[in-house]
Amino acid sequence: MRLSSGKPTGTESPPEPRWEFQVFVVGRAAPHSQRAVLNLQRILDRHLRGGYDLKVIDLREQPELAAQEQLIVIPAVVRKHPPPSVRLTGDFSDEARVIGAFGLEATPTASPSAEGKRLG
Amino acid sequence: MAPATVEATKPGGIGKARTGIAGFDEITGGGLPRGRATAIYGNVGSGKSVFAMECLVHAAREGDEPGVFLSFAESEKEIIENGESLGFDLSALEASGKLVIDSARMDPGEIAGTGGYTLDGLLVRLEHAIDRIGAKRVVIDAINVLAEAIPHPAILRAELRRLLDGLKARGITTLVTLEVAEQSEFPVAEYLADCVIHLRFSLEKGVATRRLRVIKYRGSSHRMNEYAFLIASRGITVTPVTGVSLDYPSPDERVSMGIPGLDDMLAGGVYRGDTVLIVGGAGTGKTSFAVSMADATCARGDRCLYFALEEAHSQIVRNMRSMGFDLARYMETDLLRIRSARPGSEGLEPYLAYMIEEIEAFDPHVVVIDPITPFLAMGLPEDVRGTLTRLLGFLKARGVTAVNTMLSSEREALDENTYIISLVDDIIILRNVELAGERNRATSVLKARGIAHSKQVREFRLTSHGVDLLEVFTGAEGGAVGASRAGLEAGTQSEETRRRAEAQDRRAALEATRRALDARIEQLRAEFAIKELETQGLLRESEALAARARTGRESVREARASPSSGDDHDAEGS
Repeated sequence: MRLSSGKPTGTESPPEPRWEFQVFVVGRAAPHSQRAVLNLQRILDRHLRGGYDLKVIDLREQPELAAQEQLIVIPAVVRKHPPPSVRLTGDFSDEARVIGAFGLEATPTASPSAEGKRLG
Repeated sequence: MAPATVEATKPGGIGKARTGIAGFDEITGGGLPRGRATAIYGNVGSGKSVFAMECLVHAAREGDEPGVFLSFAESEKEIIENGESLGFDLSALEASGKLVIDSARMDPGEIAGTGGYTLDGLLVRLEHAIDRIGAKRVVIDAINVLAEAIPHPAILRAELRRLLDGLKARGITTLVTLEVAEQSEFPVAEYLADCVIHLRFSLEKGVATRRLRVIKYRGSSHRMNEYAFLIASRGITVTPVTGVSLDYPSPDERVSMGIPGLDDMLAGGVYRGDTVLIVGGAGTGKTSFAVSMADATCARGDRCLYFALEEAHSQIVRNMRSMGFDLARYMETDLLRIRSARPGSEGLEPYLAYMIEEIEAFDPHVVVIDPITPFLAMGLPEDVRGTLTRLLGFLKARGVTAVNTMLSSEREALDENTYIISLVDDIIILRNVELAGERNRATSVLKARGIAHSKQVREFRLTSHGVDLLEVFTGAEGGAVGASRAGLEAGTQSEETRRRAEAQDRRAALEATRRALDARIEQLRAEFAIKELETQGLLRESEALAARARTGRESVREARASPSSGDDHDAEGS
């Protein structure tokens, strides 16, 4: 499910690699799930002006993904693109941590810097 | 001394899920609380994962209860390898849909936020695995690793409770393991789990020891003692020192010791399943007795496992051939197995594990431990005692007749190792008897439980056809051995005869002394004679010289005294 498909700022910008995130929740309507998704969207909107994909996956619907994606703590967000895969869990209320983990800070609209490899 | 067996399931009480771990189900009166959570904590190497794994494997294999093993500490590959070292083919169990192995990784820094998270990922993951194979049991191994990655204790506590409640609601028997030395390091376990088990690994005097204690068991009675346990290559064996090991059948059947005279003394041999101790000093024939038993066992088609702790099996086979025992024949037909190995520096426990493994693999009727003495010097006395108790209890519980030899004087055995005396059923004493300048061997039965045994001391010989007990001789001074016995048997068997024989011996000795003395006198005389001759010779010589000198002087004097000294002829002629 694609919550947001980004907001291209202009046709003049060169094609950039898309940022892709997957958020895993148990029960979309659960307060934890909703708060986490909102927090995440707020941060990504601010730092990824070039746009991103955010897919929310409910483990109740695809329980086999829990083992495949090495999930224990929920909600969890996984940066699927660009590589490497980075995972962060919690409610994402700590903006600095989200920025640091995904390498959003240095070049808000460009591809992630090397520091984004943190927490591999 | 045996407390009553704990009831398996009280009316209205909780159900038990058998673990299949030897000894544990007896301690807990049937196993773990069924459909509930059990926490196992212990230090590194205490065997938590092995315990948990074994519970799952037994249930999956024998109880038709599939299980899920999720570890926070090891990879799937490592888990499978651990299983292999215990003889469990986890891959096969997985393939047949009886087991799911999952390895969970937690990065300590991955939680970003002040809260607002749950362990639902873990719950979904477990539930999915449970649903896939219809699991009845779940192990969460090294849950402390998960706990360390969760920065909020309140969330951790609440979430673990929710997780375990979720599993309980599905009727799952859950086991969580915690790598903490003390329960206080992870107090959550105590109120979350219905049953708490503490495992402890320690090195005492260089001896590896593992102990198990059931700390808590909600809704059930259980034994509070700490029990030593083993991890052998076939899994865990817990043998409680008291209680369980005494619940064994006591067959009436007798088995031969392989020495006709000894069987007679025991009124037909020892009971099958008895623990026999053969005590004697060096060179008293302990091994010969033990081998006699082994030989007789194989001769009647039973299996015998012989642990030779101080001799190579080839040495035993060779030495015993000279006594007419053809052990090689039985080894070829696999009725006899001789295992020559000294307990290593790693201590008693691994050796015991090795023995138990061999016993389980061969399933012998008779086990010989020759000698048991090296065990006594290994480790702390109470550990040695515990270990021996478990070993002998293990053999007894299997109905195995055990023959142990012990290098010790009778007095030593009785005074210093009294607990061994109480552990064994029958004690046969061997000793050297020195009498009338001869060394002979004698045996007696010190104790034989439930047997009206002979109280006699019997001489025996190690002959080319085995151990030969001589007919008992009962005279005024009791048994006689060796030459005195031969004298008695030939003569009138009276005290007078014995005295006469003794006097004769003394006369012979006196005679020999006299002869020796005579010889010396003779020699001295000869020496004297030589000296005498020499002296006489010298005397004669000096006398001759003196005589000549005297003659000379006299003629001078005479010549001077005579006036007509110039003419000899005149003087002589006058």
